[in-house]
Amino acid sequence: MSEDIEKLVVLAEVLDVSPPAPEVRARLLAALQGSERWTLYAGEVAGAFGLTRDDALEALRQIEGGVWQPGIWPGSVLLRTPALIAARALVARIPGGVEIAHHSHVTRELTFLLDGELSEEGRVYRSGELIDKAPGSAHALHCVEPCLVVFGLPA
Amino acid sequence: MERARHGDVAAFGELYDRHAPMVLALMRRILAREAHDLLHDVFIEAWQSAREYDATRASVRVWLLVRARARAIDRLRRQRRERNVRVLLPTRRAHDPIDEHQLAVRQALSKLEPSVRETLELTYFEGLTAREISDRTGAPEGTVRSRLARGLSHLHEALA
Repeated sequence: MSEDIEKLVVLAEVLDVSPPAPEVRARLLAALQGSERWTLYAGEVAGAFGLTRDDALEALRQIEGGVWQPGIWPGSVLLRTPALIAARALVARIPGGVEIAHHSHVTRELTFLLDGELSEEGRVYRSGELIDKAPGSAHALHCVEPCLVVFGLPA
Repeated sequence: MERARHGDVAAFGELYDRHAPMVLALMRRILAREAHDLLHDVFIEAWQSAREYDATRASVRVWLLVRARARAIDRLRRQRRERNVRVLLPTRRAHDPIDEHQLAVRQALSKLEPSVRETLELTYFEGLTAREISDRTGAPEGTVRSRLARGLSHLHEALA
């Protein structure tokens, strides 16, 4: 811990502490259950897909309330933002039980799991985990539970 | 924090209950006003960065206090800049004739984004160049130029 931070903590100890107004807590929790819910993963999504942090935040905020389009897997929907399109990525909601048939990759493919449970030939991935497939690799996926993922084919 | 890192909003609420009073007290010490607004922003940013938190580097309380201090100082600096600009703005005296064009300019200015308005005011009321505004506000020179162009375009449309 740096000397400056130690001073800050010591100073904070002697401050006149009083509870914040209850509406601040209510507003915060409402945001975390709404548009900010998935921004928890902003750093990892930005890093994996080559987005700026602001672009990742913007895309993740669109998940609750953004415009979704039908996807290629049964019952799935897709979300694209200009920054995701530029990064050759998209967000997908896939119902539980969907099988993504065995396929191979010409280019690298990234799948970041925001929510749900995804099985890759026996190995189970959960929220916050990244599946990174190299060019030439192959796999099949099974959505054990409804999944919310960011897919990308980085250049 | 470990549960919050995995998306547990209720756990983050508990973390808020534990640390928000001290975070607010620190920001009140730095800022006379707006500390409550900033408290919300600090905890939203903490949520967005929760997965990068490293318990071996700092306790949660220190991590939050460092963020809160940085945000409060940023806000304080911006308030000071805005106060400086306001002092330099010409004010109309009561007996000045009403100039409809001036009124229209002021109304159009009031509708601009604060950063765009500040750029216009610094350019026109202080005569600063884009480079000097960049040095003063911290915005890149290109951003200053685009804000200036955007502000002029808006004024042009509003006053056409």
